[in-house]
Amino acid sequence: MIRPFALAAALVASAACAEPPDALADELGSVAPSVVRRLGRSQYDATVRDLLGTSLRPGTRFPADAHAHGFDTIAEAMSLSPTQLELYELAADQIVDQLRADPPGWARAVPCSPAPAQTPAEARACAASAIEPLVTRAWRRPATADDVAGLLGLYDQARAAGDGFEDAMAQVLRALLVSPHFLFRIEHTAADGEAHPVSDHELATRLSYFLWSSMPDAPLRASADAGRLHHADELEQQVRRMLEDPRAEALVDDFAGQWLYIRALDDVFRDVSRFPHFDEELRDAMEQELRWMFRSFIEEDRDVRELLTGQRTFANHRLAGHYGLATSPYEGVRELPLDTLPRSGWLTTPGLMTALSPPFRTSPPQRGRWVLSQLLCQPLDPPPPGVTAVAVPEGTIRERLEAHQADPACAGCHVAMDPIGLSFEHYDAVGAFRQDDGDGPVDASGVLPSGEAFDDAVELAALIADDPAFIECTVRQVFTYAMGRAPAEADQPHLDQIVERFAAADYRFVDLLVLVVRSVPFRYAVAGARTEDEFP
Amino acid sequence: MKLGRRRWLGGAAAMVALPLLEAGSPRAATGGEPTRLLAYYVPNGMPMDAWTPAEAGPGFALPPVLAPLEALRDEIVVVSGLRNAPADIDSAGHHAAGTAGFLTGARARRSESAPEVGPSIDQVFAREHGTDTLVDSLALGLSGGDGVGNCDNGFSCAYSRSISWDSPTTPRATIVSPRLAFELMVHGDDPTATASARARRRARRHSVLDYVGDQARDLRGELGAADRAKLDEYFASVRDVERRIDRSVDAECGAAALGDALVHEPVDVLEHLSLMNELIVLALRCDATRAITFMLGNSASNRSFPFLGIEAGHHDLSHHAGNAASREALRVVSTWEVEQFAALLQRLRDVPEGEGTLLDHCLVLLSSELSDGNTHTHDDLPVILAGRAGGALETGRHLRADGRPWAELLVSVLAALDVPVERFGDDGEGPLPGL
Repeated sequence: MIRPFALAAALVASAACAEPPDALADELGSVAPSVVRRLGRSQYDATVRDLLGTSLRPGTRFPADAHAHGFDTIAEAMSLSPTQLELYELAADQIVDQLRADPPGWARAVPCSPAPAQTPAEARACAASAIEPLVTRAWRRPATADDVAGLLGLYDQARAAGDGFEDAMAQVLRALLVSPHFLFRIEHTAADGEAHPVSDHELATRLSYFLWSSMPDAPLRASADAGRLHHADELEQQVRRMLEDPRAEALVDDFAGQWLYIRALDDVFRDVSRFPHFDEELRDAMEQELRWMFRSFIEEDRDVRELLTGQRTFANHRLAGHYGLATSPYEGVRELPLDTLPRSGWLTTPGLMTALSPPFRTSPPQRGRWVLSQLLCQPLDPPPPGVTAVAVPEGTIRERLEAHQADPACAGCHVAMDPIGLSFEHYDAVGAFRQDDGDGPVDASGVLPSGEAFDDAVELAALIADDPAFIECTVRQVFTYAMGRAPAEADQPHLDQIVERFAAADYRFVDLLVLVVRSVPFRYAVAGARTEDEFP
Repeated sequence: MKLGRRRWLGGAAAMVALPLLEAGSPRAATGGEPTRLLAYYVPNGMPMDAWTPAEAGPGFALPPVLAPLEALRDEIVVVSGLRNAPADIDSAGHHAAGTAGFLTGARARRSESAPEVGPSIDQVFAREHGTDTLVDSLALGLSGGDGVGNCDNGFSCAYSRSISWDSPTTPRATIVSPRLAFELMVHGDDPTATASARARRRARRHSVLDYVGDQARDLRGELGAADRAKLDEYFASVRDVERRIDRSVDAECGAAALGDALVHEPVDVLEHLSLMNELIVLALRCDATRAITFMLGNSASNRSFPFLGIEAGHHDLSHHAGNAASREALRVVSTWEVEQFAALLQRLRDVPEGEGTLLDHCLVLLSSELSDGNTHTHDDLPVILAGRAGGALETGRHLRADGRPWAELLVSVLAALDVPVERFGDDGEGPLPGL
């Protein structure tokens, strides 16, 4: 787990700290505007779970939000149609109905229950006492008198219509959950157009949705209440505390799930006649491996370059067999060394190799393109207009791809994609190692456009790990996910600074999360018009 | 909510024309049958050499891919030769641009996160004729979002996953769960509850939506321009939903529909499609909505068809590059798609309504984002119209449109739906001659 002594030291430092909230303001530079963020599907589910303890996950049935820049939580791309509003309304009904049917759950959500003998005024005071903390948590900022009065208005209406206390409070809960203050993460920006620090509660909310995909918890709210959150040490301490919480699994689900394509395994279909060993159990084992591997970068604060060069993995017995490791049967997932195998980190995992293959064969261009776009942030230009598939039915995969490179219209991209993609040809469409692909012995060697040569994917992975573009891209991916927007020009100096400090921190992943959270873009806001992201 | 045990999946023969809404239905007032729109999208174009009839006019022979429509020949119009120029962009992204242009006839703005194209004809129609139904429109489909990645060469994923556009910048979310679609239609209204309980329920919804609508209006003043646009979408949605709260579910259509079939999510594409077809028929039969869009797959879908013995993905197959085996497989997939469409038409025709059938009072429009998926062309689109739109459409023929703008067809469709517009989309300057 994360270095506990560092945590203790940070606690001492922050208690003694007299640093002004804007101690980092000298680095301010330029700040790019953000757009108000709506809760995404997984964020909605995690928030209602943490707010009300419900076991319902209504978001799983919501329509998918559109991806942009690699993630489905990009603020500008998340629109809201009447259909989605009705779904929020339905979800609120269902959550409240479930709570009503569960008295202990209800009592936790609405921690006040008027005695039968109480007067209406006493019952109303009881309602108000329950509403205030609910608003503070649900809307992620201290409740105002107006907030409480508005919701009490709903309570009064319901009572006047003949509802009992619980029915009236159910109405309050529905309103709480359909409110724009709940569904959007509202941040107030200064009207003068100047950049300024977001409020402590806004910062707490940015932080909790970044690390947990959920609302702030009590310690984070307390820190915001005390006005401490803009202190660099306090922020770092909160990040490290939050990463030890089970809710940080959201980084695996939502960040790595999309950046590193764990989610892509959900939809794979394999031709059973060609891959008789591929089944749900193996697919699940692959997914678990990816999840464990990514989690180890959070839990052990590993060097992100080991994502590519790591020589250990996490596999159940089934997957160990798929790797060709002869082990006696065991339960659960074990850490296994890879150093005796022709494998290296994430790129050669059966899960990724499967996710990046069509149903019945490998696709070197697909794999190469993935490395370029996801790990090096070098998305390829689309094919020029009028280009159609090249028909080259004969020959080895290498020969067939070389035919693409002979066509000038195709060469630009294939020259970049194919050597990378062909290096993975030792791993078939379910990621099993092979010496022969059916057309002859696999030749996984190649030369990058930079001139660097490699013998196979293991050597290629080491080259990519050493490429500054990989580090810069990792920073961009974390930043995009944290901010819910693509980096803008104004962000570049801040990104450069994060990269520099990331290097000084030996590329430890948790340090990267801390650096992004401490960066000016994460802590500041500026009012802005609609941003543009015209395709270059 | 009490679950009614009456089954509505007992087959078409069991279905009878039903009274619709308890109140507020113009049909109840006039006795006329409303005209409904069903827009049906199929991905990746069609193999046009096996699609386009050789003869124009009535008495045309159905080419192989259209063969499943044989029994329905008198119910359809095949329109060939339409060109969607706004979708014919000068860069990659033809699937996205074509899908975006399907019901809008407009050019999609090339932006990954800030799409702009619409509105779509179903929404224009719904604004005029969807105000008295349970839901103004339903956007349905078989595929959610892909779990990862971006969509089409710098074009927003919204273009690939939605064909229905509420405003130029707001796509209607596509519902893939038949049960969720049903819940949206009924919205917790229990036809077996007492009238006062149902009224109380509606009052509760009004009170919550009033409250949150006021909040959105107040917030609007406090936010910057970009944030305001998001709050405006929210506010418009609240108003939209509020207008429809007072419509109540007909007993037969509401309770009866909660049969066993919708209690679990479908396990495979065939069951999914069958449940969606049932839901579409139910929604139209009950006049729960008059505007439905349906996506058989998302734009550029790469679905495999193991139940047809086809392993390759649909999009991969559409780029057959002349390969004979791929072309044959593509033809099998395309014919299967037409079969599914024909099955739905048949179901609509099996429901008696007024003097004719439910299909007689529908206007069904099928097309794709492309003509030929191999070359990404947008001229000579594959188009089928079906249903008589209450008499506005003369069926049983093949109409050659000879390169006329696709958006002219959209103008004609709107006219048949009693939404007279002079022009629509980027190049629909009038109705399509001959239709």
